[in-house]
Amino acid sequence: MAIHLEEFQSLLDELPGSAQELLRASWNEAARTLTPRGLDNYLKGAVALHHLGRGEDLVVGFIQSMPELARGVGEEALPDLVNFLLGMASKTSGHVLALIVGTAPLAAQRLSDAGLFVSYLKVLEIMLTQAPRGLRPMLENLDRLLTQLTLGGLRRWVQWGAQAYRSDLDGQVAYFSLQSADALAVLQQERKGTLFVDIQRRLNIYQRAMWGRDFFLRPTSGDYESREELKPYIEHYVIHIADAYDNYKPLGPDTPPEQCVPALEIYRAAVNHCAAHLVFTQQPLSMQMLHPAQMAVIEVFEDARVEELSIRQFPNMREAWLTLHPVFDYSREPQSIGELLDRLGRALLEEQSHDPHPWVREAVVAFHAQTDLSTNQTSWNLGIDLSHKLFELPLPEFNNRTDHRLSAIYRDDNRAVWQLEEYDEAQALEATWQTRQQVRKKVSLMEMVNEVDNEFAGDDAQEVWELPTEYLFDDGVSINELEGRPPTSEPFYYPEWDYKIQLERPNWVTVLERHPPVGELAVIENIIIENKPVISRLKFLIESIVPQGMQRIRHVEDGDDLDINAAVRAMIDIRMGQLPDPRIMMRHKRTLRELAVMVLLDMSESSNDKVRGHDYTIMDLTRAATVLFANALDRIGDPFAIHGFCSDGRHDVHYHRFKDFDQPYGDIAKARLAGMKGHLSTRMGAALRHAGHYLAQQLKSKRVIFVITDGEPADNDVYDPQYLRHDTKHAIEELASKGITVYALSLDPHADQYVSRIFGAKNFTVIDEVERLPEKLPTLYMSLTR
Amino acid sequence: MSLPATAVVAPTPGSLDSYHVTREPYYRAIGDEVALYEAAYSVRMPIMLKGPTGCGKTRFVEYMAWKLGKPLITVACNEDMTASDLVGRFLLDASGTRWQDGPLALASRYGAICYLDEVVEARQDTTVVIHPLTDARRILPLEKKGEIIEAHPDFQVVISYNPGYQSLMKDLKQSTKQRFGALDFNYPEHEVEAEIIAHESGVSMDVAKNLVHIAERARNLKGHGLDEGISTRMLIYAGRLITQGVAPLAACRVALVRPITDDPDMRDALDAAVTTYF
Ligand SMILES: Nc1ncnc2c1ncn2[C@@H]1O[C@H](COP(=O)(O)OP(=O)(O)OP(=O)(O)O)[C@@H](O)[C@H]1O
Ligand SMILES: [Mg+2]
Repeated sequence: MAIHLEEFQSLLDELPGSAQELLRASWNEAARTLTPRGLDNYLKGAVALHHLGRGEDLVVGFIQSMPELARGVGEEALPDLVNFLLGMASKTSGHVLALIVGTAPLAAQRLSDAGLFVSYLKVLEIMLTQAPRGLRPMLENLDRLLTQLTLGGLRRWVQWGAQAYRSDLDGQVAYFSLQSADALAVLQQERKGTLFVDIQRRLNIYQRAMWGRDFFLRPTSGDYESREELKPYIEHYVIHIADAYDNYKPLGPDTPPEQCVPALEIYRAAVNHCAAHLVFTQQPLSMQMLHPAQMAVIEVFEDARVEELSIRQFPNMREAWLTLHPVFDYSREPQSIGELLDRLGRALLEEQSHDPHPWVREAVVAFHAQTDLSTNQTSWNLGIDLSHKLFELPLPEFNNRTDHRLSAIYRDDNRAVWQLEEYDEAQALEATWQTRQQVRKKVSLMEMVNEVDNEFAGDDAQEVWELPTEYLFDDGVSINELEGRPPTSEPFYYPEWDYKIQLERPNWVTVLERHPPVGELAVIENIIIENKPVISRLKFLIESIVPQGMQRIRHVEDGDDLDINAAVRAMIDIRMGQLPDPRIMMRHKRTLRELAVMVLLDMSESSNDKVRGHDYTIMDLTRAATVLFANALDRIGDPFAIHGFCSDGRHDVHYHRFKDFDQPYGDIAKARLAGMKGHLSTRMGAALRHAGHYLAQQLKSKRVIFVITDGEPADNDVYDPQYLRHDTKHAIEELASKGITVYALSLDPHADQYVSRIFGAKNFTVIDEVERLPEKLPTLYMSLTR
Repeated sequence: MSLPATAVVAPTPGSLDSYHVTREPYYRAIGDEVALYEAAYSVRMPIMLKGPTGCGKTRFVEYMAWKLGKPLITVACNEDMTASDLVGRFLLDASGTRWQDGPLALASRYGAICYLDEVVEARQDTTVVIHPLTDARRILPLEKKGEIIEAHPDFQVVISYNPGYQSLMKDLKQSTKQRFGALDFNYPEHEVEAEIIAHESGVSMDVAKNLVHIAERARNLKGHGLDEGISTRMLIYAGRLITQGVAPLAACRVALVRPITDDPDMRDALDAAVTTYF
């Protein structure tokens, strides 16, 4: 449904003139990005900022930046930002507030996570309270800072400067505008390591290669407060891992670069260690009746056990893990149980341990004497045994929280070694993405009357019964009429790609085909008449496309048939005693346009927008382009289909088949095109998968889907703007592996890199002069398929 | 396809001499495939060898041809191949035109095993020329020449077919498939594959086993970004480089990882897998 600005008239009236004007001009874009609730927040936010009385710049900047902010981290961030601004208003000038608003989209784009954005606002709060003079120069350098720092790094950089120049205002300005040497030095030191998001795919490929199965990996921003707390952990079968690692310096800060372990190696070591826990553990241990120190000893053995089993499969993992273990000075007596446990951890991993400590030696011998490492009971037994002896040592009592400081960074916190207090089955099921298929049954009228408890169930009901005949209520109204829903097809279920867990959610989306409504044929005829000049230009192009059929290649030595003329010439040469030209054969070559084309139209709400400076809509243009394109394809003879889609949440992706491959491009197809209307949203991945399902049945060597769209993937039940982009990209990759190419024509004037990120650098065109789409589409097609 | 330098004009006994497999090829039997093939040959059943690339199909046919003492004519099929490429064609020489038998005509005339490698690569209208040879008729009509060859009693057709690799576009017709008996091939068991690699490349069993481990890592990725896993053939190449003194890491990079993928993330993951063994 279209949200009109007029619906917010009362709010609008409260705003100053310039803001109203800007809102009117940019409304379409905002309405496309934000849900109705988001739009409401958007306008209320603008009004609230206006009432602050800190100048129009702030309000205008807000109106300008918020759609972009929402595209970056989701519209949920809007109220957070507004509340932050209102809270800070007493502490700073309107100018600085405007600057915060103006740079918010940049921060959103760099952080691309709503949670991180909120944390970013907290950093700004620190600035405002501790180093207010620095805020403006800092925001001016925000791009550079966020390119080089994680959010945690930024926070520490900010805190360092705020502390150092607490009362030196000029110093603050110099530090935060990156003019002072120490600002650069701290920046260098805090420079972010390797980000999880950058190597997530590699890790996934790697662990699948190594272990032959997938594990769920999720980033945690563990480095927020300090760099130390980076321990991975396993919870509900999901491996949580730090969102960034620095290269590991085994010899401390002065480690020469060639001895540093690259961050990627830490990630791999951590993933392998966690995977080993998951692979080699059948049942977690019970922690009942155990002393914390006993648990700690058992954990050290358990780590050693799963690692030993992995090393049997992957010998060099020993080295990879060992380099990440701290090195100990054996001449020093351990000062705490924690230190001793860390030494044991290293000793158990080493092939040949040289640790002289008697307790460590005893533990190592006991571990190596085990013949069966297959269950964690072994670790339990060893741990209980050796903890008794541990208590006899003259060491301070074990403190679980402070005692364990040096352990290897790749090791998880071992919470998964222990049984949860209660086993949560729902969560375990969720981690395996158990699918729940909806059951559709055809039933008789009596069954329907007697059994059905909710005639209007949504598409996520567990069972849907279908009555092949219409179900009439007593007053003669059919249930379908009452619902006002056009008849739909059997549902098609498709998976969707969740980039956060890097897995497909099976059967996540329901595609329902609907009969397209028909319109007036005259509409199509008018398009033809209006575009006469374009059509005659195209005609020339169409004719120049290679005709299908046999081609003869003459003048070859080795062909399929004799070329009589050449043969006669050769015979004459032979008779005259001359050397004949042996190339007297010809070869047949079949040139076929081995091509099938699917035109997939985005029919979402935004297609009702007027083309700038004209009184026709994007939909009108798309229709005209499709008509000319279909004409051209019909002439060229390439088999083609025209389908369209829009969506209303994941349970209802509407799919319309205007023309199928085996149908002629006749009056029916044209009437359906004429009746095409735009509404709802754009769940593109599902539509592409469904289109691919039809195209895959065409046995042609080249199969192409042309998507015509005016925006990016979106849907009303998805708030994370990245999610559907990633899913669409994934759908396109899947189709590519089935030999189907997806080519996009984007009509989005704001199209930025997202188009190339989704469709790939070579497979899209952004049509800048939208008016020329009808001519562009067929021309483009012909040049692409020549 | 390699044809002998002198064209065959008339049946001359022994004209397939150059197609005889003279030395015993090294073939390590995996299961009962040798016995099954012998049985199939004894009733001249056309055979289809199914399996991923580089897993030993070609080697197996060579070995069987040697074992049965029959000549072997191999044709590597491709998309541009025409029926004439298989059957034969007229060529010109000083005394006029002359017919030259194609490999299929040659094999059926004089009694050889004709091995059509990667037969799906050929277009379907080319593939159908083997139909009359692979049913009860066992004949090959040479339309242009006006001759019908009755297949020699020793003649047999063997084709190879990679079920994983085909796109939807390329598949054998049912009418072709149903003319053949099929033997499934796959990468051998861990130990056996290592043995083959050690034999063929000269590396030690330990190195060979590590190579197989690495291949198994890549085979885990088949269908998850890789179209094909690392084949036995690739492992042998890697092994040979190692025997030549190339460092194992470099050998694996050159012979195993670089060839199978251009995807940088995939390469990185595989390189990392290699380092868990070398
Ligand atoms: N069972 C085996 N015994 C001996 N050698 C083998 C065996 N399996 C594979 N090989 C070795 O692997 C190499 C590759 O095998 P081959 O060329 O037969 O593969 P292929 O299956 O025919 O591959 P393609 O489908 O690509 O033609 C051979 O040269 C041989 O050295
Ligand atoms: Mg652990």
